[in-house]
Amino acid sequence: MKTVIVEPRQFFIWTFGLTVGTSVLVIPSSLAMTAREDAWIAALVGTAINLLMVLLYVVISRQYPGMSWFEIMEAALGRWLGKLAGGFYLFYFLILAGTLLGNLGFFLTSEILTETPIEAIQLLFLAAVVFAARLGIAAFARVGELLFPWIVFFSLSLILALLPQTEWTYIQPVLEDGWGPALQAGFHSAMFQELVVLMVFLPLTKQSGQTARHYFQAAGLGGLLLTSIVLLSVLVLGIEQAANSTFPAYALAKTISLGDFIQRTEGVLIALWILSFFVKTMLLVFAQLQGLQSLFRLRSYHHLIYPLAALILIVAWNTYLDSIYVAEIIQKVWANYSFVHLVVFPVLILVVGAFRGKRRRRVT
Amino acid sequence: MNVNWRILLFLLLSILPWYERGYLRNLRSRRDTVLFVLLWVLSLAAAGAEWLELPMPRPLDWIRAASEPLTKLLP
Repeated sequence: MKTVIVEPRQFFIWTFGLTVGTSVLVIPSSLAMTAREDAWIAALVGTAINLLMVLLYVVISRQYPGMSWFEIMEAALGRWLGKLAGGFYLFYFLILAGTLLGNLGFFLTSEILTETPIEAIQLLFLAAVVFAARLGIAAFARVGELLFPWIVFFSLSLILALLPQTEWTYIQPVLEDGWGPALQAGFHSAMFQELVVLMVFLPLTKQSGQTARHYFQAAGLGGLLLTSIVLLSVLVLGIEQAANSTFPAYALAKTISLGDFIQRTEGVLIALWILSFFVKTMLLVFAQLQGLQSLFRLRSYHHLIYPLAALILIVAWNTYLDSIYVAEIIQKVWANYSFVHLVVFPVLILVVGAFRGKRRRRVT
Repeated sequence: MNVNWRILLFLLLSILPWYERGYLRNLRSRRDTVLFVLLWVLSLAAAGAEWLELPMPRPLDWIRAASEPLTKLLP
């Protein structure tokens, strides 16, 4: 299981993709709805919270060197309790992957391919995911290296093309209602990057010190890209349109017009989103496969790819029923559910690890 | 032509053990085979329920129910 070696730069790309994937399209509207003109401050708060979470994960990985997240839970909580906690994470990753797939289908069928059945889009995307999963983690890591320059190119093109249209009065007054809404929205947005997924892959990387640095840098850089998109959404669309549109970043890309010559460049955003989305979905699928292999001590996970993909598809069909249902869950439930997996469990494991380390030192 | 994607998924899943039989035989691991069968039965049952349009509990509703106590505590 641990023979696959991932380069620190490949880990950087995974972290960046996980931070940006899906969030770039949906986060601006929820931030603008809660924090209004201060949505960009909320995005910065979310980035800071994410960096704190990465710090927490790196400290835990140093307490349990060479172990994946599922092994850490067994080592910290004991065999059966650890397996139970691992089962919760498997369920979390499954629901997350299914919801992402539902989100992809919903976005494409509502905005671009309106005549295409949602199931066809989801099946096609899932076929690419299954194909990549069959080729293994090492191949996926190299695919990430091929995709990353395009993700950077599309992001920079989008930001530069939007700069001439900014209206700075849209973000004024700053902090009119105090820090409360910005902190609340920032906390909510930080619960949508799920950086804990990468703990499954940390032992597969070379040079753990360098990897930890890349973990931080990519989370920070991804956060800054998200902040830029949120800021541009408000600066270009204005607060009402940014808050009320389902996909403000997409609406934003549609407004690009350089000299009445370069127009309708929303395809750039769609490409950026689908590439980072692919990285995120692949990481979730691999995390589930690695988790199943670790929890049940299996020899291989290849034979589990198809049934798992079918379950993800069925979850997608049963989660993204309509945008109102999902918006309500995202606003009221998901952040707290994610909080348990991103913060509560890791803090518990950190405390148990520190306590055990102290006891071990006292015994020796 | 309207394609029934649920039936398609169910049929594809039905032939999965036949497709994976060689790989599982080479693995020579009872544990791997048992987990594959369990996961396959679960996915086949879910696909069958989808096809027959049986009422199923929605995953996000489970999460809502499970997170209810925490939702009251957090802002």
